[in-house]
Amino acid sequence: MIKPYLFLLPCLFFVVLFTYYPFVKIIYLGFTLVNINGDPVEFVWLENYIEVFKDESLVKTLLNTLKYTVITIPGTFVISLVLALLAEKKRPGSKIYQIMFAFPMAVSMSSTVMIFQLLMNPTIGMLNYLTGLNIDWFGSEKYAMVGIAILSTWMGIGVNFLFLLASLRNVPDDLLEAASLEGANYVQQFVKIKFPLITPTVFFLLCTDLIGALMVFGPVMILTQGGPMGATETMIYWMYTEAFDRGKYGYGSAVAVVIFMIVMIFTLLTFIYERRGVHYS
Amino acid sequence: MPAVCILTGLAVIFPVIYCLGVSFMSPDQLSTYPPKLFPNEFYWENYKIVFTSTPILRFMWNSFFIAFVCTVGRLITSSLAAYSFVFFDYKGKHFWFLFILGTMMIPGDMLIITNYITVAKLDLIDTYAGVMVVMLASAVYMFVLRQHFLTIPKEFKDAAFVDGCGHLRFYLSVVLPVSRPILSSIFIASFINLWNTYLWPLMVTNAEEMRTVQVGITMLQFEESMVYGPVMAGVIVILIPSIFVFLVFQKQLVFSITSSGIKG
Repeated sequence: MIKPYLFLLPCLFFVVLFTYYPFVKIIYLGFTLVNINGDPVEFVWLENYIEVFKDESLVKTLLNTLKYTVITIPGTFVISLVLALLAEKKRPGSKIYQIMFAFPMAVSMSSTVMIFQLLMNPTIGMLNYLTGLNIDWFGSEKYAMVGIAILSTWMGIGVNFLFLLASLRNVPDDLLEAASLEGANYVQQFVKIKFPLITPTVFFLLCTDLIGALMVFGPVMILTQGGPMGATETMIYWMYTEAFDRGKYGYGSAVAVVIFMIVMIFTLLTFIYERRGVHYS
Repeated sequence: MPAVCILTGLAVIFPVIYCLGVSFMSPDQLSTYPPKLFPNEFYWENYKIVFTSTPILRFMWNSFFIAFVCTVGRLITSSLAAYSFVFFDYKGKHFWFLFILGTMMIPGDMLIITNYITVAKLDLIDTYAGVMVVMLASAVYMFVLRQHFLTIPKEFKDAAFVDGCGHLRFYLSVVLPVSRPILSSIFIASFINLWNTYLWPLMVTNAEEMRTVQVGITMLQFEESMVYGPVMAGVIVILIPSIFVFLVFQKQLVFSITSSGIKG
């Protein structure tokens, strides 16, 4: 019977051609030298990979990316959780602030970047004005990555909030009622009941946000192009410059594969959290 | 308590409100210190500049066309594949299901080098097809639809087949209509997602008239020096469609999130 396969074919066609085939190819290209047309011209075994591990950009971009990640991930999570707790109880009018809390998800990365470029302008920007700081955000080596992390944190609030809100509202009311009858206060209810029950969602968000953070590229491309002095050069941005600015497709492919392995390692680490901390009911 | 929530909400949407305010500010109002939040009057020049000296309408058409066609494409490929996994019984079923899901483990950004080479060799740079071709299948949406199709009662299928209905007829006249809520949720989520994509259209288009709205808006910054007023006006213009969809279709968006199957 070929009918089931006919139904399957369209999806399979695109999935193979634009995900699996490029995936296999990029691993292969990492072992070669590639010309401008994208054709491999010489098989160089592990030369590219050895060069990647000797390249100082590897550690530098990894550290930049981690600096970004440790701000964005906890930042987005904590803010979204607080917002979800604020909006948890359905009240008349709660729809309004629910929509406001989820709003960042309607704003594209490009739009966010253009707005925050103005907000974080050193002289006329609102951020410096409201906080009294005097930081040249995207122009300083120290703070540029922090600036990008701040705008990314804002971007992530909408979706994380919605997921956490949905999972908080899924917590059975009778559990919470029983706990408050036994004298448990809000904090105790949260720590002992609510949070354990939302850990599957927390894990899901942590995992997907982490992968997204490690592969950050857009804001860097638009705002800083890896500068100033390489302070915002993230891993994927490095891959991009090697392949498309320097035309070293083979080397860029090796970089891509190494980045992939690093991201995989971090993803596996989150699965340790899943083992230890996630409660499935 | 609700007051706290409303104030917090305003803080969250502050960047967009500020953007709206700046879009109506004249250049001198913009360069005042301390920076103003709201303009003294509505300065429409910025919007005039955006519409007359940038190809923003063309950008918007490009984005719309690509987002629409790809979303329809994804719905077709995903629903057909989901149908295959739910309403047929065959040996490779489980394997192919996991095979497609496996793509979720591969971050798309990693593949831009090889996908770019593929598209370049097919001579599809600077074409709609070149942009669209990598976004016509989605493992996530296929998974969501499959979960959904599993909830369709078996009796529907049995009854339809007893009446002489074939698989294609059943798919078209029963499965799809019955799944309208989830299909429209996915349509909306996917449309917004594709309207917002940046990296791939950036890579695959060079000609200005082929650029999408997200790429185009970042390139407005290279006209003269940084002119914030028109840039913010441009941002508002490209935000209007997605904000409109976000506000009007709130229910469907939330539905598409909660039916992704992430429980707990």
